[in-house]
Formats: sequence, structure tokens, C-alpha cells
Amino acid sequence: MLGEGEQSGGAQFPLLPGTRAGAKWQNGQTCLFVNGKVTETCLTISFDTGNGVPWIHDANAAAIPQENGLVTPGTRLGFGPPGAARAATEVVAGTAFANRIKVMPTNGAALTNTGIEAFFGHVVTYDNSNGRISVARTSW
Amino acid sequence: MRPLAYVALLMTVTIWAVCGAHAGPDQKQVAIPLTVTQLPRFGTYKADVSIGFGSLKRLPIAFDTGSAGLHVFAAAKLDAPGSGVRCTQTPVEFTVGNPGRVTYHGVICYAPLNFETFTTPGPVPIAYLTSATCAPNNPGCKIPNLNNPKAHGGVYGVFGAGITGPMPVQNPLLASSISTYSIKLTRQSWC
Repeated sequence: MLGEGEQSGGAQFPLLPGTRAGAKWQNGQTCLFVNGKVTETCLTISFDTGNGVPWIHDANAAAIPQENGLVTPGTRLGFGPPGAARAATEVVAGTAFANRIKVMPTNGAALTNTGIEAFFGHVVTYDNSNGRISVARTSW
Repeated sequence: MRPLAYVALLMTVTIWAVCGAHAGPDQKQVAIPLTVTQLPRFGTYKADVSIGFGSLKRLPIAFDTGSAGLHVFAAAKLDAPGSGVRCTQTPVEFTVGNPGRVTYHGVICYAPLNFETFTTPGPVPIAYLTSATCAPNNPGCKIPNLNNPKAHGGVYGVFGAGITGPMPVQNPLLASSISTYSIKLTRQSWC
């Protein structure tokens, strides 16, 4: 446990150079997966332990199964770097407050927030020097 | 708050100490425990980290990778005599919500941080927030009581561990010359 840095074999999400004062980096991109299959819905991603429930703000998320503005319950929603064949981490949409994944159209920049759920069972490594977040599965 | 999930997680911090005598980085690694709890009302999870500021006893602070910088509310009493925290008169403010809902105001302070297993080698910047106002687009909002940790879910501040976006105060890990760190979160239920 001690001494682990970036996990080998982890999916790497490159960050983009920051454009605002005081920001070295800005959030990178992800492509969403539905039940293990990659979609063409690609947008900015925020890995956010401070958010309890994932959400999607995107005006073009037709590839994501939805019912009444929510990801269809039972759908496995995955997050992977652009070009990846597999999702780095997944969350499962449900019907309770804790797992209802809202999909909201926006005129602004498309953004998804993984919420804390996407961290469970993974090692998420923040590398400020190289500008990337990597996600690897863990066995515990 | 019932701890359905317990301290199952460790944040592994990789410290790259700069040592002039070494050709390469001298890697030292520590693990800082985080506490994960499930909120009984909503069923969602949250992560907290326990931090002592200066010579003050450790307090629960929300662990948030979605923001950057250490923001501490007045309830932590960083300005108490003998706290070991040095507060400046440099103002700081930030607005939460998108669109903004509440704007917090305060000053920048500096203190070493005492985690359960690790103390920062020097003081790190802290946004010490002592008042709040409604954002212009949210008149008449409910202002949280910054002197009561219950107003913020039982925590005394937010440890912004993200590395993206502007930082009014620097991510405390980056401020401690820690440029790479890993987070392991495990949800373990006793049910």
C-alpha cells in the first residue's frame, strides 16, 4: 500500500493546459460507455469525490439511454479516455436519490461529474507534474 | 450519521523530496486515512479527512477532488490564541454553485497540517472563511452559519484535492511539494 504511485495498467485521462489565471490544468475528456460499449458521447470529465451522485450536462447525449431526464435504471454508465476500448470505471444508474443519474441539456460546455461512486474499487492517481489523472482497478 | 462504510481507504501520497545531493528524486511515501460514510438521509457517500491545523486538535474536513485548495470555516477557530495558525489580512472570497449561490469571505491563513500519519513540512495556505453573503443572482438565500459545523454536514471545511481550475489558495498537497498522489476509496457495508 505504502509507496504506490500511479498504478500500472491504469487508464490515463490527460488534462488540458489551463487557460485561466492560476490554473495549470483544466479537466480532460472522457467518452461515455453504456453497458460496456463505447458511445460517441464524449465530453469534459470531473473526477469529484465531493459529489454524491454522478450527472451529465450535455445537449447531445442521445446515445445514453434515458427516461424522464434520468439515465435508464440498470444502465452501467462507464467513463473512459477518448479512444479507449474499455471503461476505466463505471457507475450503475438506479431509481434512488443516491443513484439517479441526471442528464441535463446545456448550452454551455458539456461536462460530466463522476461523483464519488466512480472512485470505489479503484486507485485514482493525480499527477500534477504531467497533467493527468489515471484510474486503475484495485482488488480491495 | 451511521458509518456504514468505514475507514476503508487510504490516500497514498508520493512525496518527491528535492535533495541537492541526489541526482534523482528521493521518493518517500505516506498514507493518510480517509473516512467514508454513507449519509442515512440520502444514501450517498462522502469522504472526510482528519486534519489538525497548527497546534489545534484534528477536525473532520470534507475531502473533495472536485475543487482545489483548503477552505476552512470559522467554526474551526483558526484565529484562537495559541492556535499555531498565522492569519494575514489578505482577503479571499469564493462563490459556490453554478450558477453561484453563496459567496464566502475571509482571509488567508497559514499553518502546518497534522494528518493522522503525516505532518506537512511547512505551513500551507488556508482560505479561512468567516462570513458569507448571497450571490447577486441568488438574493434572499439562506446563509449558512459558519460557526456551526452542522451547517456543512458536520465538517469544518473542504480539502480541495483537485488539480484543475483556478486556485485562490493552492491545493495543500501541491503546496507541500507533493505532485503525485493516489486515492483509494472502498465502500464496505456492515449490513
